[in-house]
Amino acid sequence: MLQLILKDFRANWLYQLFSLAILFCISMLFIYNMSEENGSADPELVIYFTVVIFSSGAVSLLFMTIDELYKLDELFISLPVTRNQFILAKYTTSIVQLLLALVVHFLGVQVVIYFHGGIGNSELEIIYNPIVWISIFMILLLFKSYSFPLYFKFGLIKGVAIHSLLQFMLFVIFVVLMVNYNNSWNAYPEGISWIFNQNKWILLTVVVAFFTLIMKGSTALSIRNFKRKDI
Amino acid sequence: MSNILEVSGVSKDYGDFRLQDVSFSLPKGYIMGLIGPNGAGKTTIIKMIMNLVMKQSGEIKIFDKDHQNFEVEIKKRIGFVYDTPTHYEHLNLKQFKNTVAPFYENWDESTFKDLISRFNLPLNKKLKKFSKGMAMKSSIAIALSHNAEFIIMDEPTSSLDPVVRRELLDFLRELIQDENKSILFSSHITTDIEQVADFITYVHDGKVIFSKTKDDVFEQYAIVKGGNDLIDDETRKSFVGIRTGEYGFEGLTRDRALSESIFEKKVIYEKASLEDIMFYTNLELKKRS
Repeated sequence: MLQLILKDFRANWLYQLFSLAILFCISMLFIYNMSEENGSADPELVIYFTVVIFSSGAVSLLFMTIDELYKLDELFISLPVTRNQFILAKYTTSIVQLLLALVVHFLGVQVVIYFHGGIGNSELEIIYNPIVWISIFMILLLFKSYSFPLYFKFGLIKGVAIHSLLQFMLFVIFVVLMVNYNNSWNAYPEGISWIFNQNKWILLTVVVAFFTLIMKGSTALSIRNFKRKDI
Repeated sequence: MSNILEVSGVSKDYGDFRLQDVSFSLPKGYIMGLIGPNGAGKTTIIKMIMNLVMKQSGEIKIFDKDHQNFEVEIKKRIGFVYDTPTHYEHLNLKQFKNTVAPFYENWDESTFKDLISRFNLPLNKKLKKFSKGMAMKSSIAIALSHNAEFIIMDEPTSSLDPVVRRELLDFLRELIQDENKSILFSSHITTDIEQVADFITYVHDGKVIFSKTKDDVFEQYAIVKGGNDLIDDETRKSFVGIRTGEYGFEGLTRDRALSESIFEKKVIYEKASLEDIMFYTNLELKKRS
């Protein structure tokens, strides 16, 4: 399985580097702009994190897209690997890519704050909070948990189309909730502060257990879908 | 004679196409040609053997082991070549080899280098700039560089020009000199199969019409030519397929001895080519349907 993970990075490192560089620039430009407009009332924070979520999600599918483009799945399945290993490798590479994307976004923030300043700006303080980034990672994991079984059932293109539709609906629900139940676009959503006030260790245990279960269920479903699939 | 491959009673239903009760076996140390018209089911059978397409019933054994339960172990000993070579187009051959080689514990770099030099392939040229022949040869080089005992190739010659095709067939013949290696390859180019195969499996419309040694096929099948006056409802039954014209008939028999007893020396007997066999079988099956 390790070889299935390594082959992606070995073969596509240049594409990976290029896509991460784009994310870095996106974050730098956003944060620079926000630090210039200290205290603006625009919903920039929501836009920024929406961009972070979508761009990181897109980058985490880079290797799968290349494999789909060149029809490489059938080549790699014919090598000495099982379908289970194939699926688990796809999950692993995608999650590693996701982490890399978020780290690069976060580094973009750091660079602007280090060279340009901006501490004291309420928006940037939220962006600076590692818990927010961990939460974004969790949201993206949640997206992955339901999107991957779709990819392995319907193929990447159809899967992305269905997933995008679901994601758009979730986004609309989020915006409606923010408009109706939150005082400001540029503040933590109301419920988050209650979560932050809980015991951190209990919170961590609950979150890790929840996501372990979700990902386990998702991989099981993907394996079930993919095992029945003709390649 | 132990079998390297045993396919028994394998079926698959796609709705508009069905593989029905496919059975054949390949003894160790031989080449088997899988022939049949386009859409007959050759690729599906090969993909089932490789566990890329799921069978609905039946059993496939490779190296005497179930192909699904011992998938990894079996695939380590198989070299597989697709009809359309797939690879990362942005890589060169050396980089692509470095991506695939780590999957095989017994990857043999010297064999790979030998094949590259034999096939005259550039290591540093981007794969997207390779011609079809070069891409096929690079796929073959990669498939054969881990000392595979069983080589499976799906239409390896279909996109090649005659010179490269001949080179490849010569190479397969050489490869089989090592009696531990066996080859299964599909093709609709029957002359290729005639040149190198020891066994022939003919698939038509998802069914195996026959699977036997090449010698048996050419001994049993024959083209019979004679006058139209010799053809009646009874004699017609001795043919797989028959064409009649103004100047006489031409038919394919699958039992030359039977035809000789019916027509004696009143007709001409010619060796049937695999193309004849495919043509007349197709003709007959079309009539029946």
